[in-house]
Amino acid sequence: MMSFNYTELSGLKDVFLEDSFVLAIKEEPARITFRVEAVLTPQHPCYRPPGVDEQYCFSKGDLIFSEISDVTWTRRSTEPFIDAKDEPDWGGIDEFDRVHLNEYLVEGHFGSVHITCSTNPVFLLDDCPSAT
Amino acid sequence: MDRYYDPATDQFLSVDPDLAETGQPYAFTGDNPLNATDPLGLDGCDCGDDVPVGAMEEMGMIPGYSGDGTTGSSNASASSSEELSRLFSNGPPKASALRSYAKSQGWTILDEGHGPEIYVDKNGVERMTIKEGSPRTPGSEHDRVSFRNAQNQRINPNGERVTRRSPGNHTPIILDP
Repeated sequence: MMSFNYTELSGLKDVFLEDSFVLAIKEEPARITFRVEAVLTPQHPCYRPPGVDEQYCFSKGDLIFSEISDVTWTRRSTEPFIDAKDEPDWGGIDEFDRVHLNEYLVEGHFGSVHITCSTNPVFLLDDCPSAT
Repeated sequence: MDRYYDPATDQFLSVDPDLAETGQPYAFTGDNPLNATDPLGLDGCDCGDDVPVGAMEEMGMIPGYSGDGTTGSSNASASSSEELSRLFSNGPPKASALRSYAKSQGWTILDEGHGPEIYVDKNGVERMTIKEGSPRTPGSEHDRVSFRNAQNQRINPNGERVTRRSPGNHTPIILDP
C-alpha cells in the first residue's frame, strides 16, 4: 500500500467515509460513481448539527472515479442491508486506499474493487457549492 | 410437499415448491418476503411478529421440539437474542465478549487483512461489525458495533430494527485484543 489519506482528495477533506453509507454504485465504460450518504465533520462548510435521532450530519453526494482503464471486483455483495424504514444501503466505505500510483482499493459491504484511473477521484456533494 | 425450516436462520432451506409452476420464488409471501411469512412455506400470511412457530414445531418441522413450548430450536434462537441483549445490560461490553458470542452463533470473521472486524453467518450474511473509534467527528469517537439479523436488516443489540442514521445503529463497546 502507498501512503494515502482519502481526506487529501477533492471534496473529502471533512468527510468521514467509514460511517457514511453507499446507496448505489453506477458503472459506466470509463467511470464509476458511488452514490453516498456522507458523514460531514464539524469543519465542513455545510455541516449542521445532527437531526433528531441521527448520529451524524449526513449529506448526499457522489464519489466519482473518472478516466478508468480497469475495474476488478474481487468480492461483490448481492444483498443490501435494510433499515427500519425499509431503505436499502450497501454499508460504509471501510477501506479506501491507493495501492499503486493510479490504482485504488475501495471496500465495504458492497464488495471489494480495485479501480485504475488516470485522474484523482473526487467527491461532489449535491447541495454544497462551497465544498472543495 | 412441506418445506424444511432452519430455526437458526429463521429461513426455509428450500425454495417454494410451486416455483416451477409459478416462476416466483417468493410467491408464498405475496412477493413480500421481508414482511410476510408462511408457516408451511406454501401460502402467504402477513403474520408480523406473531409467526406461529409452535405450529411448525408440533408438525415436526423443527427437530427436537418437545411440544411444551419451552424447548426446541426456536427457543434457542430467542435465548441467543436475550444473551446478546444481556451483554449490553451493564454498559458497553468488551469486544472479546462479542467475539465469543459470535463464535457461539457459528459466525466467522471475514478476514480481508484490513478494515473493521466483520462476522458472517453460515449463509454469508454480515451479522456483526466491530469498528474502532475515530476522533474525526462527534459520535465516532467510541469503539462501536453494529448488527444485522438473518434477513440483512439493521438491528440493535435488543434485536429491534433501527434506521441506518440513528445512534442505535452503532452501539458503543470497549475494544480489547
